[in-house]
Amino acid sequence: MAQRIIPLRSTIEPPLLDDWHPVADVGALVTGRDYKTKLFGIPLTIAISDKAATPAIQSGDGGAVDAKVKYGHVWACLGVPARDVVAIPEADEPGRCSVSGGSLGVASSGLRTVENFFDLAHFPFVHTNYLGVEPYTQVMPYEVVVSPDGLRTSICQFYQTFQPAGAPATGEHVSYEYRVFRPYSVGLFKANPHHPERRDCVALFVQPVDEETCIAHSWLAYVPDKIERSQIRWFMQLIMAQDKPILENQLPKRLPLSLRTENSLRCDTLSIAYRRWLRDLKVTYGAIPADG
Amino acid sequence: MILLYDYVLSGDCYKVRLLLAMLGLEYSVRHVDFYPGCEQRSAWFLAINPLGQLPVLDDDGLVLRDAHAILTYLAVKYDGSGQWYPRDSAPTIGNVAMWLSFAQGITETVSAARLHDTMLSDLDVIKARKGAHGLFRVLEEHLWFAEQEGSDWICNWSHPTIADIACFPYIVLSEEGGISRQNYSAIRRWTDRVKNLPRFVLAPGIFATAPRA
Amino acid sequence: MAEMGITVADQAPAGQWFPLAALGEVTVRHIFHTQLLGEELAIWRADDGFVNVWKNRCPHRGVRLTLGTNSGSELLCRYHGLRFTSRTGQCAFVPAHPDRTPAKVLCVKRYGSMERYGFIWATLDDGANVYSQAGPEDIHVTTLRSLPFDAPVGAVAEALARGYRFQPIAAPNDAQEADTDCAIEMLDAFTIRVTASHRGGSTTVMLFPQPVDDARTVVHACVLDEVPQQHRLAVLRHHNDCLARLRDIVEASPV
Repeated sequence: MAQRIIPLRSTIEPPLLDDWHPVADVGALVTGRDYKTKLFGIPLTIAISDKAATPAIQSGDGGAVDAKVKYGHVWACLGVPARDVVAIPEADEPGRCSVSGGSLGVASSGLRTVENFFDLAHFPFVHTNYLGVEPYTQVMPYEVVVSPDGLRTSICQFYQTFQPAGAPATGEHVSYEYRVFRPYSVGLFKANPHHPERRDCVALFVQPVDEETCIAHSWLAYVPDKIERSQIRWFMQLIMAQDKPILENQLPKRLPLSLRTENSLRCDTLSIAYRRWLRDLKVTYGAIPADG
Repeated sequence: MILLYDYVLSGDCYKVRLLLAMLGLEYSVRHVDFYPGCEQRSAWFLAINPLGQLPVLDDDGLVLRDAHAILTYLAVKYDGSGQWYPRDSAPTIGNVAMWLSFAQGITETVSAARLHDTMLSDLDVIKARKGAHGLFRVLEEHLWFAEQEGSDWICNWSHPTIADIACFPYIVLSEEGGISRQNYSAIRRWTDRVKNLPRFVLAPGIFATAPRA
Repeated sequence: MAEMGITVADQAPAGQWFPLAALGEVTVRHIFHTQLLGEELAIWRADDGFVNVWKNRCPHRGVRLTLGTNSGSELLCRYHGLRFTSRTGQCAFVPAHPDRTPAKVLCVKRYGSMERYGFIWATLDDGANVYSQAGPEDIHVTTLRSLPFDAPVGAVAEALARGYRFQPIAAPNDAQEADTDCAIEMLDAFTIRVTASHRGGSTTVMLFPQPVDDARTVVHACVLDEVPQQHRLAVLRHHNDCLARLRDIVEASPV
């Protein structure tokens, strides 16, 4: 049984303390070499003895930390796990392929990073010609449902253009569904282009390094097709790198939970629901509390 | 046919992509999984560049590594105007070489800080940031006086050169390494001017500026 | 600064006006990024000449406006493309909802600003007039290069007041420091006037240390005269060198 860690616990609220958080891309680990990182400000050292084994995690005070491997990443729990690592049914389907986008450091609160992931209105401006383009900027209304599994949107539609090689530019409405699994984990679901009855999932597992710094671990679970993994990874990193300066230039760095601090628009339905949900869960790490 | 061994987030690769675009050259790309895959250390890539670094250019069998060497080659081979790498006299060649070396210093400081903050590299980021600000001060003063003397560009002539291309990527991405460009006003105006050059192309993390009036 | 017609409270940031940039620094279709007493500012000139001094933060989701674009009449936020109108700071267009009039609350915080003596001045005082342009009575100055200092404004102002020395324009190239008298007056906590006199004449320079935050300062400076074109570059370089030498001393001193 892993030893529980006592220092600094009082500063981390139970919904986060007793949950699993990503701490490394499995692909980043090298047998026999320690991998150092931080979670909630606590230094962690991760080591694997062989590729098949579950990594061992030691915390800064020398105590062991619960570890699991799932969805291409190593997950750590600093408290007593109240439940399992996030579950994504589409990703668990047999025959699925997956690729990680690579872990990127972001100098912003992980909660800001999650909120940016499910924001649609920025596509034409931050991801110009990749996820959106002017003048197709309108965000159609959508709904959000709250459940014990987190937040889920109805279908979000957005107009995207693309240019197939050697052909004129064309456009179509794409349909996304967003699910916020945990305060720091979110997924986007969209129909696979070749098997429209099945859905690909782009997940963002965010590791809170401290309240104003995080590591964004992106991951794609998709129905196998001919696209090269290098091409997928290129695209995932491109998108994340386009969002990075936006996040790092947001002030305040922590996510304000009061509705009065920032002015929301109609397209911010999920952002408003997310901030309210965090308040209801009494999550404050990486946030500015509503009464703060 | 030009083939570029490229990584999407590499500033050094972007230097080459930028000049290729400005020269109007077509090329194909071989993605190399620099991070997190470390593909530049794989056997097949080390056979092409034993230093295990990006970018590498293959122009019909001529293989060159090192971003600044590639910029020099492309400018000499393909720029009929001669403006990107003027070589009419020893002073002009010396001037460009001086600022290419400066750009290398930018890579060693500004890019290092970015590797630390973004790609989680273990290095002395405080030292890297301090070095970066030292270089920014030098460039800021230089560009400010260049403006006073009627030049918009690093080599102090009436047109940009590969020195501007070599300095641009890591400077404009400096905030990813915690190096703000607030109060480096001449550098900020210069980055706007580079972005307004004909056939300028973006890289992830860089945004377009307003066209000039 | 009473003779310049600006009322300034001694040592009191509230109501104090500060120069933030020489006019030539705030160029067309550009956004100037600075910070005053810890408050970040985005300064941009519209095509009609109006200079906006705004809080560097979009009222929607807090992204720095200096990341955005100056279209000549509006400042466009990089994140969601919201457009904020010159002079009023009001959001005129939200791309995500193109058919709706943006709420009045979507307005950038503006600061009082004015053009005087070759600089853009601003105050963080909420009650200030929003903007005024220089009038015909504005005296002619030659603005010098502004230098950032990694030191708090008190230390910088003190160092300037104690020992800023330079050669007047009339002095020959080989003039020695000992041949020149420098008379220094600290007009208030943020304004220092130095007159250098040589046999051939005298030159007066104004120095304005701008408090960026607790640890940083930008020193703005101008010559109280129109420097003849043939001397201009030499004068700019001379003061740049004088200030840079002083900066080395200030930054090397323990805080």
